Amino acid sequence: MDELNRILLEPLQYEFIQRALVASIMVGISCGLIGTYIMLRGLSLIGDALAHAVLPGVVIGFMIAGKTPLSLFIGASAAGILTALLISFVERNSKIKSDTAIGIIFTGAFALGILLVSQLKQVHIDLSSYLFGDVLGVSDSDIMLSSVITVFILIIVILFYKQLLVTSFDPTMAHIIGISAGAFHYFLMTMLSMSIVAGLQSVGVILIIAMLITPPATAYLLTDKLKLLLVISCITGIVSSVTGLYLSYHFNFASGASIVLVAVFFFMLTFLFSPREGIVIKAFRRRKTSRLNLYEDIIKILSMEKIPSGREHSTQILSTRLGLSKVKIHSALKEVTKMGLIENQNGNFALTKKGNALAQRLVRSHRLWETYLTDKHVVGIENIHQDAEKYEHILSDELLAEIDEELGHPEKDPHGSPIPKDVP
Amino acid sequence: MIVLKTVNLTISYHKRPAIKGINLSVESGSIVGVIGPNGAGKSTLFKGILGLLPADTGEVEIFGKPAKDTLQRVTYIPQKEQFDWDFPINVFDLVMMGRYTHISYFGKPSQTDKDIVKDSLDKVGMGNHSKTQIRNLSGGQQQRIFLARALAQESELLLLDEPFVGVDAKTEEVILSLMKELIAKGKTIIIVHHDLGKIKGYFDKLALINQTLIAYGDTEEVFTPELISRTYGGKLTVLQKIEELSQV
Repeated sequence: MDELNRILLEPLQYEFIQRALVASIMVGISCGLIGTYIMLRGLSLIGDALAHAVLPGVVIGFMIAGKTPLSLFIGASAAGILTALLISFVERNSKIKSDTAIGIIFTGAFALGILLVSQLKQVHIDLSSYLFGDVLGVSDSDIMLSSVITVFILIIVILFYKQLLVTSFDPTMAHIIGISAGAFHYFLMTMLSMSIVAGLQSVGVILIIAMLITPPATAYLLTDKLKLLLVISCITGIVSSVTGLYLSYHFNFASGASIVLVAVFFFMLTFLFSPREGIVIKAFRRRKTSRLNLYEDIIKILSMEKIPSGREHSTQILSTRLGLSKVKIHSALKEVTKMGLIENQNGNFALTKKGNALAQRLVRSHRLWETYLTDKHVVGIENIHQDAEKYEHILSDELLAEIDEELGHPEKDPHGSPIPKDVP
Repeated sequence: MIVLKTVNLTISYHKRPAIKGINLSVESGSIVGVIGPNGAGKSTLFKGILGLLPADTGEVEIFGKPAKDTLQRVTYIPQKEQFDWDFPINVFDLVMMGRYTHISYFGKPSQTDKDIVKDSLDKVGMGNHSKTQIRNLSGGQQQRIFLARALAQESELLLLDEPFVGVDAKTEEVILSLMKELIAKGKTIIIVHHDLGKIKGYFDKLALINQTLIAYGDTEEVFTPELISRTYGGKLTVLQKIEELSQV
């Protein structure tokens, strides 16, 4: 308990940590919302470009109006929009493709920014904290600014939900019904620049793109509902920021890097283990299915062959027919026995009542599917067996009943073998 | 009444004309097939009508007014490949987009809008799929929900780009019967189509296009071996197909 206290609560007594925490939460929300649309529209590269390209805008803003949050905000937004416009301009007026145009413009703008920083001594910008973030240097006015930006973005996303949806999914339809996809693109670019400003202080421009796309990508692997996607991506963003901040405090990590690595860690976790999309879960599911298919194949072969030839011989036949080693067949047979599908009868394998029912169902499924394929001329009769071998495991009872109905309850399959009736 | 009129419409891609001087007038209440070989500019014609591509010369009038003023009364169903089918949206919400022209700018869908969406889904036989995510649909189902969206939009002119490609027999049936229903209500449907085996009984009128408008008129008058071979530039495979057809 004391330990937990030390880890979680102790940092909170410092005012700079409180401020950093608020700033991190704001970054999580604003980047999570805008990032979702950036990801769905395939604009991740532009997001990265804009993050770099706001630098000259910030410097010029500071030059003109002094080092205030407002000049930061206006300078960054103007630079963001200008960059987005330039990219489309180059793309539209030459044969240069979008990724190349993005590369040219953003590195150019970034270089200009660095040049300005190094030459203009009257405006002092700490380049390293600007690039990599310095969450511990968050001021009250920074918090003010990022809060205003976050609330603004939240309102916009709610208010323009329909328009953002239709311009993201179907810009052509948007155009037809009088919603300008172009206007919304630049509107989104403005908000993107704003969320970059909001995240400048805590994550820095180099890494801010991670906060824009990693939490939405994580959420995307967890849901395919847009509203939920927005919410999960905000939550992931907030949790990453806050966790990263704590790690940064306790281990003295650079705050931006720490926040981003936590976000990437969450992404990797989801990538591997997400219930729907996780590759480990999918592989596991595939293995389970192929194991079940093997058991079903064994039952079917035992039932059709009616092997009264001793366990050793049965194993041999199964091994040849299924192309698997005897060891594998042996362990599968053990498993099938455990499932109560076969039993030992005077030294032979015999199907139990349950096993017989399963075998009947498989044969029925196989032959019905073959009949269906032939009837509908989907594939030639010479190919139907292979296909049915696969589908006999997959077809559900409802689907089988439907197929049976549609075919008019056939008695025989295309090869002339009887189709077993449905076993209740 | 003339629903769609193009006057001397010319559109270029990278300075090469894709369609040249198209003059087309489509009357209301007809199903028009736009026929021509690959690269003949069929889809370009649609994009020109909708103002998605800038015209070099020419004008487009829809319902007797400049197209940009009346575009909201048009539905366009592009080829299915245009969409990101992994987009996080379900069938109901996609069809609801058809109602956006009827809902105020910041407004939410009313009960009426929801009922219309449900009705439209029922009409295309997708009533049970309203909560399904679009990524889980088959090709035919994808086509049908776009049709449902068109119904929900209640527009008077429908432009469909290759709706019969890669769909199952049931979907084709649904599309055909819906088209008849819409025509009976006085709507107008224009379809880009390439399967010459399926022309008669599908379209009242045909527009034969190969960059220029080769012919436009009633299907019986226009769907002749001479005109088709002129449209397809005398490609042998097509000619053979036509011969086969005329023998039947």
